[in-house]
Amino acid sequence: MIRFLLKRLLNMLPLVIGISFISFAILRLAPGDFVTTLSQDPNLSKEAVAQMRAEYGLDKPWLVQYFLWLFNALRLNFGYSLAYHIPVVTLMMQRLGNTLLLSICALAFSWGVAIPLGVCAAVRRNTWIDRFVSLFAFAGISTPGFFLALLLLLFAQKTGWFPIGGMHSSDADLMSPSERLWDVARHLMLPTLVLGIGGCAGIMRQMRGSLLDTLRENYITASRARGLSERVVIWKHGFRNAINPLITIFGFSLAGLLSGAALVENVMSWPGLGRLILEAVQSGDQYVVMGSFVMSATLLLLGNLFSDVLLAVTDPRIKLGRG
Amino acid sequence: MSELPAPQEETLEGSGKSQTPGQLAWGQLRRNRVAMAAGIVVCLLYLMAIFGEFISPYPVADIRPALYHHPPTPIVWHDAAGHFSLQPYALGMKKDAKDEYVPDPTVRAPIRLFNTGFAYKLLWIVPLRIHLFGTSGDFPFFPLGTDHLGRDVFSRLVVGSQVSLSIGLVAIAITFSIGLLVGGAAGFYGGRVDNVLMRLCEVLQSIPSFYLLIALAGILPTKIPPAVTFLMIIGILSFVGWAGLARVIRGITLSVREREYVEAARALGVSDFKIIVRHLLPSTFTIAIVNATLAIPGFILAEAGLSFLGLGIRDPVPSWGNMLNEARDLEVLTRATWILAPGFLIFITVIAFNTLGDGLRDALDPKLRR
Amino acid sequence: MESATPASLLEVRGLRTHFYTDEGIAPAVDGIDLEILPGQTLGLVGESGCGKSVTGLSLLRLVAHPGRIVGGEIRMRGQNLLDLPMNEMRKLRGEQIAMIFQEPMTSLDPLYAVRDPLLETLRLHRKMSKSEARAKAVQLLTSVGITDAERRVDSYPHELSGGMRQRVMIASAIACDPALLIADEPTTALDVTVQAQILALLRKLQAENGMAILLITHNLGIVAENCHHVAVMYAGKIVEKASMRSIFQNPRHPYTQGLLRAVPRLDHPVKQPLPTIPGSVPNLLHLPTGCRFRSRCVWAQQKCAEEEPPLMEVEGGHTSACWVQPGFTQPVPVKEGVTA
Repeated sequence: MIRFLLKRLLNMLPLVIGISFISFAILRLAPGDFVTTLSQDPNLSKEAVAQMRAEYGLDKPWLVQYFLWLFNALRLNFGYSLAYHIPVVTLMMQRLGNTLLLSICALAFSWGVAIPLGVCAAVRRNTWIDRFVSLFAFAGISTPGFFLALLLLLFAQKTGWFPIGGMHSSDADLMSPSERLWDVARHLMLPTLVLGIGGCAGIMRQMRGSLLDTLRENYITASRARGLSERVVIWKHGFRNAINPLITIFGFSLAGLLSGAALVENVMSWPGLGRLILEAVQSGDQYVVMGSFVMSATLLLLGNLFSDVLLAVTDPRIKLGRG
Repeated sequence: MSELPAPQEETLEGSGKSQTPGQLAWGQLRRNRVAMAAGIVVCLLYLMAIFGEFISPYPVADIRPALYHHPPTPIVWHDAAGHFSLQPYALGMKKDAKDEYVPDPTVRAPIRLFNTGFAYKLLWIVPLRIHLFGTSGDFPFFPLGTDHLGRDVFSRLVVGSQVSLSIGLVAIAITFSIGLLVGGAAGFYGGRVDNVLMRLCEVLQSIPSFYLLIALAGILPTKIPPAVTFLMIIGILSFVGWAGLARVIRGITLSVREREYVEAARALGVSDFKIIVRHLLPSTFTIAIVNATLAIPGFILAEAGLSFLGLGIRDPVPSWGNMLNEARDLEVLTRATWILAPGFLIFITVIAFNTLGDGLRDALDPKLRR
Repeated sequence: MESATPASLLEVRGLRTHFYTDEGIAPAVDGIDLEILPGQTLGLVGESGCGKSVTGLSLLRLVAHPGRIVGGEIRMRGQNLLDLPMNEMRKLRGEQIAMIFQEPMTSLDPLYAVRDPLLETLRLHRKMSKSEARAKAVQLLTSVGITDAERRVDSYPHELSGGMRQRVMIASAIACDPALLIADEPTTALDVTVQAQILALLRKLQAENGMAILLITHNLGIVAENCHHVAVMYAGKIVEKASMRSIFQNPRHPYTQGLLRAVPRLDHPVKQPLPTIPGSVPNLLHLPTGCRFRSRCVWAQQKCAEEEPPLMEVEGGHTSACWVQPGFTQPVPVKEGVTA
């Protein structure tokens, strides 16, 4: 197992480096750089602009810029944000933390609701529960996230039950720690709902489908033939087998969550990585973009690794170390 | 007994004449009424896009700043005297003391079918002035109200479908082609080719897709003509999307490659190219069709999301996504809730495609065949 | 022949199991009668699709949607199993009546070790503790011919061959010493040599435990070697019932005759085509009137199209459902279009 983990982690390195290169290349595709926007200011002389460029190291040929960055990155120094003048790592930690908080809550919400509902729908096939669940699932995956966000914001505005966007209330500084916690929690509710519903719907359908397929297997009939109660048949044999393909999805769902979070953050003003990337791309703050890409890609790959390990642990047919 | 009576004619009691897999699938799909309904909805949506200018009463660029955030025009089915009439009327609206629009029953205009309106070119060829419905002259008739610049939401919605719906189709065609090429090559040739290509896919898939979309769209210059933006957005969507499809196709190619009929063809000396075209491609076909149908809503949502953030198709070209942009202002949203109309249309489109895709998948999956 | 038939272990009367599909109702089992005697093997023979597997499942009320048992009785020790509430039925399953299935490769839950089905049965029906059950499991595995059972008991299904998996299934089926074992094509998916071993195992277990067996198969060779009595099934109905000897020496139903004639023989003339039964099994959704076999029957008469023949007594204990009841003394080589 340890060898497998090490091998995978080692494999991740070239991938992440490739990603950093791609993100750098994307930025280089854009005409101009960070200083270009600033240089529109007529008060700045050409020399001042050139000096700024040299300061930021933007006057070097771009391959050199990249390798300088890579060299530093390997020592975990991801450079500075040209816009905020703080280390990229610091900036990202804050924002990434917020995105992760949102993503994890959405993950818990969607899986926590989807699995029981999916099982219910499969077991009570073609009853009203099943139809309702299927309908809900369908509507859930078809609703554009940002649209749902808008609807919920409207709802929050009209009822006043939820804060309208953001992560903290304006008087957060005056609150006690526990009050602040509750404040964040309240702000978290609507974004979690928006982000979670899409995932919830998809997982519910998967769970239902997987369980229905599993219950058709021969070993299910065989276990019934032994006289086991229906409850044992469904949970011990049906569910345990049906959850297999979902474990793989679990790892990949982090990717979808990070992606979806970007849109939700922008609509509901949640201060996360998605908003940061947008700003950074538009202003040419290249090290922030690269750092964000590398960070998020690493998280994604770790998520995949996690689900592979989880699968190997729960399924005796899988032996690690193969391909 | 020593004598047996003469044997009877051989009767074949089969269950009907044999059908090709295609016919079987079509039959199965037809029986799925929900999927057929969804298919009809999709067709209607595309018809709406094709006949966009015909259906819309106003040009999309028509700005009427004085009539900004005008609510949907009330439509009544009785004449000035209050009697029921088959001719629908549009009521005028005026602003009351609170500066809000209220219906003004004294001002009305008949809504005519096949009204004469602004000039346009049907299918970009035929110059026409006839529209599905409308009021004559300059009477403000806004079935779904107006936006912050006084532009008719309904017209923009209908014409906006051209962008929103076509992007999905074109993007899927390109993604498909790339995916087929790359995935097929990787699966068929295996070895280093496979390794390199799959690594490339891995790299692309390891970046959360929306971040990549934002980055790529974010660097697009703002001053380029809308047609170019359109193509660039399609390019970006395809770039982000092909890796997934390529992997799926590679998987199928790998499994089909090992099948006996391919071995047999090889043994008979059939050329590689012929094998790919006659044996491998058809097998990828069914899964590819299902994946494609289910991927289109993804593209539509992605374009809508990008345009919503201001990164995709930009004003004044209408797209369902960018029409929702002004809803980001909560004030506007509460006052002019009809602004949300494009969102519902996106929802309907995506549901229709998903339902259709599901139905197709059920019809084409031999395991589920009854 | 004994004057009084020995008391049956299981009696089936008029069992009907229908499948409610989108295209219509398919009467997979359409009114059959069976008698299974204690300690003896009844072979249920027929082509695929004739309803024999469904019959087996019906005895344990395991028929899945869209199928449903719609009529008849299944009497065991005087009690109609179809009247039992489900929790009582579950007590019977695995304890009084057990079942093994056709596909050993997929009949064991891949996530659990091979001891699991055995432990499940033993702990459920015999209330054993874990350690007791495990010891008994090892014993059972040894008794079905698995060597090194002490170690094997912890293996996973994917580590075992098809034959071994089937042995495990048999072990879990006999764990509680059931009175009846339903074996649904237990050897169809196995190699020929393994087939012989498994069948020998079943015969041995029957001799040791006095267990009755319902052996469902399409293979007449298996029937000849393993069954005391035979029931031939076609399109949802039993068309002939007799002792094994009687069926092979004096088959009276044209279908049975056809089946026997179709078995390749070593002394069959090389140049002649192998005899087959022309036509194919009727679509259950569109059954012909009268006798279900008549469209493939060489001897069909007018009456066969009008009225469906019931099982009629031919000799003591031998019944056949045919109006014509043609005689048949030896396999007849059939040349194209010629009968001799």
